[in-house]
Order: sequence, then structure tokens, then C-alpha cells
Amino acid sequence: MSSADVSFLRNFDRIYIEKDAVDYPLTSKILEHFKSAKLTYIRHYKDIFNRSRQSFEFQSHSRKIILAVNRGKLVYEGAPVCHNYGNDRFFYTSTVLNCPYDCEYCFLKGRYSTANIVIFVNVEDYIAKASELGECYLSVSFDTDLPAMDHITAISSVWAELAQEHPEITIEIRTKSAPKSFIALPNLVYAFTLSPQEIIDRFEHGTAGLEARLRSLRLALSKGCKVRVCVDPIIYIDNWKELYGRMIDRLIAECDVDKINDYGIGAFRISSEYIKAIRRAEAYSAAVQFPFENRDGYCEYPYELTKAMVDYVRDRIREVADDGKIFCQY
Amino acid sequence: MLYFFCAIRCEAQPLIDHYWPMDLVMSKGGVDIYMSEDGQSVVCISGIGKTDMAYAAAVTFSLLPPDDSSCAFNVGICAGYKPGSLYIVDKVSDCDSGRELYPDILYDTGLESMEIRTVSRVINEGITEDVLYDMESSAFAEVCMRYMGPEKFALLKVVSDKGEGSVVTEGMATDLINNKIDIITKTASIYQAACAKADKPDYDLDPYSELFCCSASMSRELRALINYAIADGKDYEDLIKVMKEEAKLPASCRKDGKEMLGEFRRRLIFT
Repeated sequence: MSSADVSFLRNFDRIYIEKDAVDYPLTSKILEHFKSAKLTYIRHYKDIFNRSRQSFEFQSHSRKIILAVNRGKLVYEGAPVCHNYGNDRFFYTSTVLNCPYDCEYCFLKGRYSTANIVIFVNVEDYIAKASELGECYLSVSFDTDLPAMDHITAISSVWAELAQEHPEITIEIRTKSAPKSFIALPNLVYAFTLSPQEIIDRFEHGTAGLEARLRSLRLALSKGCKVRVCVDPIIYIDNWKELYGRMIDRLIAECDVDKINDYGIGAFRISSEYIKAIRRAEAYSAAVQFPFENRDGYCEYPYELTKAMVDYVRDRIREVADDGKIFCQY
Repeated sequence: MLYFFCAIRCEAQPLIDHYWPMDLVMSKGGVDIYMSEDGQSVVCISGIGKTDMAYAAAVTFSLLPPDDSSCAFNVGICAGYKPGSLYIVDKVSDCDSGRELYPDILYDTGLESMEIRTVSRVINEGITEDVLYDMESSAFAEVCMRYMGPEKFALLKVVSDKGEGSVVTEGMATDLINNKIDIITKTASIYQAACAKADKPDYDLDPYSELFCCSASMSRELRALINYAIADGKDYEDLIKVMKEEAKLPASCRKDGKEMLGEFRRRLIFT
């Protein structure tokens, strides 16, 4: 038998459920979507998720869902390397750990050594905790792509409800998918990560194509939603300037850019703690095998290259937006 | 390499017959280890119970260390609801420690999966249809987790009895495994083929390190550059050839090599 003959079980053929998670409404809702999945009852999600010597590469062929109750910390302060979009009090929260997409360069491959996805079903606890934060900026699609999971979980809409009830909390839902339903609120930001189609094809496996992302972005704008465009991370390949230039041409030509709230721009950078694991998981990915420079604990492109890429994208965005609307990596 | 662990000889015999000719490479402390002539398959007979299995697995992995493409299997009989049925184990519960272990179930083997509970005494009471019982699985899984990833080992169990005090003879145990030997070895082949899939860029760095007069840290940098070149489809060998033609390589000394490594890096990224 050759390696080509090996067939993997389909994604989500099996769902692991913490015994404590069984009675939550979200558990029932999710199981409705996976009626033929084999259920395995577990004591604690870490018994699966945190096993040693796991292989993202193998597991990515047959991912499993783990339904759990988060008994630990529910909201975290944002890391300095992340954009805070001018907000002093920046927090993030993770109702889902890991992402259904398979971006070769994703930091999650360094943070978690597994392709399996944890969904915390005690969303009510998250909402209660977030409600206590006061005026702040809260990123809710941080360790995952929340809208990409909405057909299973609908968790984005729960956060939207929180935004409705708590105008002092600005919630950001970031995605590489192409959602079709939006709620227009002044404190609910839909952040679309845009990449050239060539970058999507090569490095962002499973994500929505550029065409679909732009269509979704237009829909959000037409509904009056607060929209952020993220050209972050910019990935270096030989003809990056041409590719990102063409993408911005399309953005300007096809979208009502005056209605875009703001832009986030940044070249690829990642904690040096994660790069070893990511390179192991993606041995043939030019996006992660690039010989980065280590600056203050972060692997980045050489400074001149980072500057050239960020400056180019910023200059192109400046054609349609004031500087006050553009948030850059540096 | 494929490793098979069985508690008793009558469970192992069908595997030894399948991979025959095999040599007895170790027989010590109650553990017998057989290896096929091609060195690709190992059958270990551990003895009954968790202690014997843990000892045997640890000894085997120390004597014959697994590599990235190795996989291990615990093959044996167990108590369960449907005698004669073969299962792949998806959850291992140790009834003494309460610990739970989970091998990955990733490949389409066609086998039904089931939880197994490892106990320290023979089960005499009736059992339910969703659980298997044996006396070694948790020890096997515990040791495997120390040597390999959870996608690289599996527990393949044939139900011998319903745990109601019925006697299982050696002949019956051999027959039960023998009846499923084709599926067991096919499953092993699936794991082996899947594990062989995990490839990494394979090249000899030494000649290139010599060209650049590399120190250990320079060699690491050079490897990273070549890995990037391979990932990006860049012809690093041609680039080195050009640098040789320009008399920039081989480097005359480490200082010169360091400079050339920087040049190599620049050309690799920007040309």
C-alpha cells in the first residue's frame, strides 16, 4: 500500500464531548449538525486537545470537534503585537480554539499542536464576563474564524446581541470567510481580511476566495455595518507588489470605500515561540520557511522589506482614505 | 517499522506466522521480541497485565527505537458484547488510576471503534455493548504516548467472551486473532503508509556547509535558507553554481563564508 492509497476519515466524523458540556443548549444545537458523528464522552477537553506529540499535519486531514466548558479565564488582555485600533483597553476572548481553515502561516499552528477544534458551549459565561468589562474593545474572533463556524454555532450573533445591549463595548468579528448576514450597530465591527487570490490559493486553504470576500464586504457596507478592511498579514512572494496592487484596485473599483470605517495593515510577523512548530507542520510552505529576522521575540521579514510592503499598501489605501482611518503595524 | 504487542503467545502466533520468517532477538524478563528478516516488523510478547505490558513496550522501544515512520499496535483478545468482533479502540480508560487516553482515529480502516477499560482482574460480571475490557491497553497507550504521536499507534481488539466467567482456551484465542489477521495486517499497512507520508525536505547539508565554511549556527541558517528555497521552488543549486562561477564560493574562511551566506540569502529572497 502506498501513501497515496490512504484515505482519511472525513472532517468532524467524531465529536468529543465533556460530560459537563452535555446539557448545554449549544451542545444540542451543534450535535444537530452532525447526526452521524460518533460521540466520545470525555472528562476534560485538555485530555484530547493538549496531548503531547500530536501532528497538525495528520489531524488536518480528519479534524474532530471537542465540545467543552471553559472553567478558566474567559477574557484576555490583547498582546502588544496586535492592532488595538486606537483603543486603550483592548481585550480578546475565545469561545472557539482553532480554526476550520488551514492557512499555512497561521499562528494557531504554533500555539496549538493540534488541528482539532474546541468549542466552548458555556457562551453565556463569556457574555456575563464581557458585560463587566466596561468601555473597551473586544476581539471575539481571535483564536479562530468565528463567522466560518457560524453555520454550526451561530456564536457571532450572540456577540452581536451583547454589542446591542452594551454600547460601551466595541466588538470586532474578524474573518476570512464571506458571511451573508450582518447586524448594523455602531459598536460592532466586521473586519474582513483581504488577500490576493494567488495568496489565498497558495496559502489560505479553505478560506473564501477574494471575489466572495469582496461580495460579502459590499453586502455589509450596504447594510450600514461598520466595516474594517485588514490587509494583514501581507505575505511576501516575488510579485507581491503586483498582486496586492491588483487586489486594492479591485477593492477601490468594486466597493463603496467611503463607507469603510478603517483599515488595518501589517506584514506577516509571528512570535518566535511559534515559528519552530509552524515550520515543522508546514515543511514546504514558503510563507513560513522564509528566513525571517528575529526582532524583539518576533519573527519578521527584513525591516526594509516589511517597510516596503506596508508602505506600498498604505500608500495605495491613502488614495481613498485619510491617515486617521489607517492603522499600520508600525 | 511496525511494532505489534501481544500479552500472550497464542495472541501473537498469527502475527508471527504472517510476518514469518522472524528471528527471536530478545527473550528476557518474560518478554520475547521477534523481528522479521527485513527488519520492518516486530512482534513482542509481553505477559499479562499492565506492568508486564509497560515493561515490554519500554524495553522494545529502547532496544529498537521507533523513527518518524514507525507505528505500534496492541493486538489481543478482550471481553466485550459481541464475541468474534474486531474493534479499533478510540478511548482507553484505566480503571485503577482513572486516567483516560485517546489514540487518534484518523484513517478509514473500516473498523468500528469502541472504548476499552483496562482492569487489574478478570471481569466476571456481565458487560454492556458499548465498552470492551482488557488488562493491558492503558499501559500500552501510556508508553506509546511517550515515544510517538497519537496518530501512530492503535489498539486492535477481538472480543473473546462476555466476561461471564467463560473459559477462553489458548486455541480459541489464536483462532480469534487468526480469523481477523487479514484485517489487522491491512490496518497496520494503512497506518504504515500514512506515517510514511510525513515527509520533510531531504538533502545532505554537509557539502554546502563546507562551501560556506559554516559554523554550527551558520549551518542552521543555511539549512533554513535551503528549506525556504525548496518551499518556494527556487533553484538554490543553480544559485550556488553561479556563485561558484563568480569565484565567490567556496569561501576561503569563516569570515568570508559569513559574507557569502549573506549574499546567498539576498539573492535567494530577492531574485
